[in-house]
Amino acid sequence: MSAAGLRAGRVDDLQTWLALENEAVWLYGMIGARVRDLDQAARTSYDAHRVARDRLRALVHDAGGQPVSPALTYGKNLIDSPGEARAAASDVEHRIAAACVTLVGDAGATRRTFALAGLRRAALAGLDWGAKPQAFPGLD
Amino acid sequence: MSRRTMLATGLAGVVVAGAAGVASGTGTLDDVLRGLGAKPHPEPDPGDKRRLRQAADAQAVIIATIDATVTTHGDLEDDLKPFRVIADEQLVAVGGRLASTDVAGVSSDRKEAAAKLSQLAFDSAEGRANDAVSAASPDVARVLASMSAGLSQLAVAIGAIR
Repeated sequence: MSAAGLRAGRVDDLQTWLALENEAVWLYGMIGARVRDLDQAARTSYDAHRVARDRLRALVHDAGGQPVSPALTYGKNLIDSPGEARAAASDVEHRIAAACVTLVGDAGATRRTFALAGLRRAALAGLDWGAKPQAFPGLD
Repeated sequence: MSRRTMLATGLAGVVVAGAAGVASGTGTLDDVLRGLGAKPHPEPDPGDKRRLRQAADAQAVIIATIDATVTTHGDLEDDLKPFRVIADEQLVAVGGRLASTDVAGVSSDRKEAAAKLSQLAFDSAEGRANDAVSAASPDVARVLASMSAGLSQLAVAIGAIR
């Protein structure tokens, strides 16, 4: 996807999504390290979100923006149980879905396709992490 | 953004336009939009009207197939009930309504019937995704994209029924 011509507002949308991918990478790293029963699932999610994060960093950079940096921590208590892990993972996937829905409204089929793929990934990942199916993920 | 806002600002103008033939000239359509908290909408894109109609038609088939599956396999009723609620919510959101819709025969094999339903939801998810990409209105694109994601969830969840 060419980022040429992205307006400032669209870059902000990408930055919002990127910030959430940074958080997801942090979260799944913590889950993988602290919840033994979920370490494989966390590894899979960690890898997927690293790919998305790197792609978004490149897009923001190509659009002339400065990719938002990850925070040192995300204000969550340490996660120790599968239940806490599933709740936190479902939450971050839900927020990623919402960010993707916003971006889908951008003009341009290529950019929409990119955001739509992220939206469906987040919706299915949420399901994997214990969320219930929704009629309109990212809009509810 | 909430779906309510989305529907009020974007979709309403498209969906309600189906009634425009009756309402035009009377101010009724504008009243409906104002009631939803939106300004009267310009003429919707004909392509978006078609996309929403396709979404509604496909959704009616999914719901009819869920019902037919439950009729054939009563033990699936509890499993499918939450998905039926979600599918109905999607139908209403795109301006559709339940109608008698012919569906292909339901397999006598329980797992096969569920798999077929899952495939139907997956195919509709693909259709809504394609329509989201080509939609003229950003709000229609967002709603169809989100619906596609929801249908993907349904396809996976129904496919996991044992």
